[in-house]
Amino acid sequence: MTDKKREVVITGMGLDTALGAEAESIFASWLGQKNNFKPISAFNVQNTPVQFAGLCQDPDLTKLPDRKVQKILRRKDLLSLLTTLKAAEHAGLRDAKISPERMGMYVGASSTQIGDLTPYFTLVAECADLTHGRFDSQKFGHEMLDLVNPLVVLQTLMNNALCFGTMTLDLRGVNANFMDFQVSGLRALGEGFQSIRNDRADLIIAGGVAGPIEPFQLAEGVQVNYLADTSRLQTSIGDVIRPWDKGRVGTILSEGTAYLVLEEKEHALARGAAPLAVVKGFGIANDGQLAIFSPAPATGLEDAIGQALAQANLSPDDLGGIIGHGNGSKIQDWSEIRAYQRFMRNRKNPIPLTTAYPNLGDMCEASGASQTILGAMALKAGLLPATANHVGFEETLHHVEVMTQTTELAKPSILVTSRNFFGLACALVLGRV
Amino acid sequence: MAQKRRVVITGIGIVSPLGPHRESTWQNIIAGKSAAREITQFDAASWPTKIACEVDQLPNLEDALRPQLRPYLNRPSEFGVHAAYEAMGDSKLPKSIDPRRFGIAVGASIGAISPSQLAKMLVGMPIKNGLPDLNQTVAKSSEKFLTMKNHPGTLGALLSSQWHALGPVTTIHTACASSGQSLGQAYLQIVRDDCDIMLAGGADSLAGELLLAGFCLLGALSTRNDEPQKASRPFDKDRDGFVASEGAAMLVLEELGHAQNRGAPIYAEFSGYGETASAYRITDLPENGRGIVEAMDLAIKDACLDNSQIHYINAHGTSTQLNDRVEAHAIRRVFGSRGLKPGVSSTKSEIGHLISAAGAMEAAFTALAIRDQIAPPTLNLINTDCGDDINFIAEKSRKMTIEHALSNSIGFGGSNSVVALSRFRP
Repeated sequence: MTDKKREVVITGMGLDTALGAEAESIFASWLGQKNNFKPISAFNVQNTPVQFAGLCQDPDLTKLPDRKVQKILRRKDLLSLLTTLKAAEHAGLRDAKISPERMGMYVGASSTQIGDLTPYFTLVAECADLTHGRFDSQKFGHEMLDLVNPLVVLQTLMNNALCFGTMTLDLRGVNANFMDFQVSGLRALGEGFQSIRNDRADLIIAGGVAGPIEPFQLAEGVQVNYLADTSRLQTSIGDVIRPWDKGRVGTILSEGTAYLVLEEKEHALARGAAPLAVVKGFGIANDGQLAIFSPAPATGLEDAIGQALAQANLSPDDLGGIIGHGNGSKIQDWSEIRAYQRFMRNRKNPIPLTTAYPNLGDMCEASGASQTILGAMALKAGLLPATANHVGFEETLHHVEVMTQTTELAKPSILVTSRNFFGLACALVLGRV
Repeated sequence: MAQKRRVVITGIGIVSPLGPHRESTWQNIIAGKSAAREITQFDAASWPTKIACEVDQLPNLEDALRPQLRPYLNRPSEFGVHAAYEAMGDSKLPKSIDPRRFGIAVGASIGAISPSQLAKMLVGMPIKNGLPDLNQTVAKSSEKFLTMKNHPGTLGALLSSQWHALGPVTTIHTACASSGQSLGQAYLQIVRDDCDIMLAGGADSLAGELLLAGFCLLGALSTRNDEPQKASRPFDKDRDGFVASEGAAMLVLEELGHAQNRGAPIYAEFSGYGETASAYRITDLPENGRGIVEAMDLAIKDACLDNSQIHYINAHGTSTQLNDRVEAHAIRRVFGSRGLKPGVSSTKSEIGHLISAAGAMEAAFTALAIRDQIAPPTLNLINTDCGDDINFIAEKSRKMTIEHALSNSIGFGGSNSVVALSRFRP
């Protein structure tokens, strides 16, 4: 263990979202307040509350290093692998001579969804006698060898993004697959930062991949009032996600994936890699109560911000802005604002607050990493884009200003936050190079 | 150089097919009892594999989880909640601890949705492109929170709420390495001063139909259906696959000074941790043991030990052909050069393979082995094809000096974790 902590920089980025797959163009779309939600067509959503989602382009399979992986990897894992490779390419890893044992990977991944079990569906339905509440296990056992794809377990492994990322890039060092709902991607970045800082690795690819848009997840999202009703639109679909706005009605789910290459600064410079931004601090804490159904205090978010700033050796006044979680959900947005107000109460000026959720949609496990990429772009451009669809919070805001216009960044550091609906929060401080 | 913060184990809770508590399970492990039997949770008569290790005794939930949190439980989470309750009681943590310095790390379950739950939603539902009609899904999702309760992240959230742990909550799924990694993560968070206390471990159930079917299809399970208790035979030449199991183990990890200040009981010191990726193939391991070797080396180095000081290894030893051969080779590569070889056993021979919970369960057994200075046996290890030069502990427990020990976990997908535990010396 060393006393002086190592510095961590970002040397590569890759993402794939409903708004495209190039960081520059996605940042430009955020600046231009664009979005690209599409009607769901993969399954029947007629007469249901959820009609739209953020959907990525189909993965370009010609870019796969080994086409055979298609036998195992599902769409989301294919998108993840291609994005991982893009981030590595961006960081110039193809020709870099780095010890594989000093390179690692952290992924924030979505859970196996009920919709992932489709290979079983036909047989399960055939074996069920719901009139009498029975399931014929005998028939299931007898016929499964003939009727179910033998690779189903491998296809539904929740760590496939990690597995295929490490295999393809020969990353043999530290690794983990985090599964803490929406914070998972930022959690992965934070752990990557800590591992490099504490000399467990020199280079980490970290980020997240959101789950597929599938009916069971949407059904539960509707049940718990998390998703917006997009069946009776008064205006355009782009107006639905309204972060921290008094008229907010819920969020829209999006596919997507985002990865960053984190690297020890001297290591990056020695191989001629250009740092894109600096990771300065990370924090993680939780509310200790389930935040989805009742307004949690968001003390976890407050604590996470405190940890991240302390690690970065910064005060609230040193921040140029926050790229927040704000997904337009009724309960979570309310408590998120409360946490910022409490933490920023001693700032000289209100902290500028924004988010790209109205543009990208709720990318769940990939949201933290995608917003971190946009944060790095914001630092580079010196601009903090506005929050689309925000008119005003239901209460008078103190110490926080939700940005309705793009503004110049007054300070060279940005805070990126993420929360899950169980009250777990992460915060990461990014700085300009 | 700042001195590394030391981490000790101050509480252990276990729910297993060999008993609903830590000591009952451990006594059965030491006695060399096998939990494998004919599956009782469903009629498996027509299945290629008809055996598993099942939990059939559970205490009631009365004090283990508040009623308002219970709707989010699935079977593995229920195991995890019970194991956490026992571990927390065992550690005797006072109410005065700082909740912000108290976190949770869980090796997540693969999930436990049953075919009958699935069937309820599927029967009569029109399918389009292989997916059900969302209209019907919303209407038919009669079981509330089905997705949420089967999400691996839910157990950690429930535990943080139940025990008012306001520090980091971490859920890891790296298949069979999940809870070994969750313990490692908990250890690292205390070492780097994020926390003083972590409740860490894993919970899983592989005894349900869908998962069991998946592993049957993969050909990974033993089909020694006529002799269930002889089916799990790690490192034996007649091994033919693993035996599915279920249960949970949770450990309370604590910074040494914090534990000493409150006079906490100490099972063992969590002295080191190693984590690697094999970066090879999704289910196969490189024959040279790459990844496992480095993880053991890292754990030993992190514990400031050399390999001659390791007395016991609780091996991953799944009873599958490739895993056992490669792990034995990896052990040989790390320890082969010295005369006194560590004793090696796999407790999967008694308790089966708990997948996401395996690493935590086996680390708990390793801590208990250090406490009692006795190494548990590998059952059914009669003739090994993994090398006579490995000091396997076969058939019967062995009373022995165990100052330092390793617990290995090797996951589908290539993640490896090795936990180093040591007899506590102030």
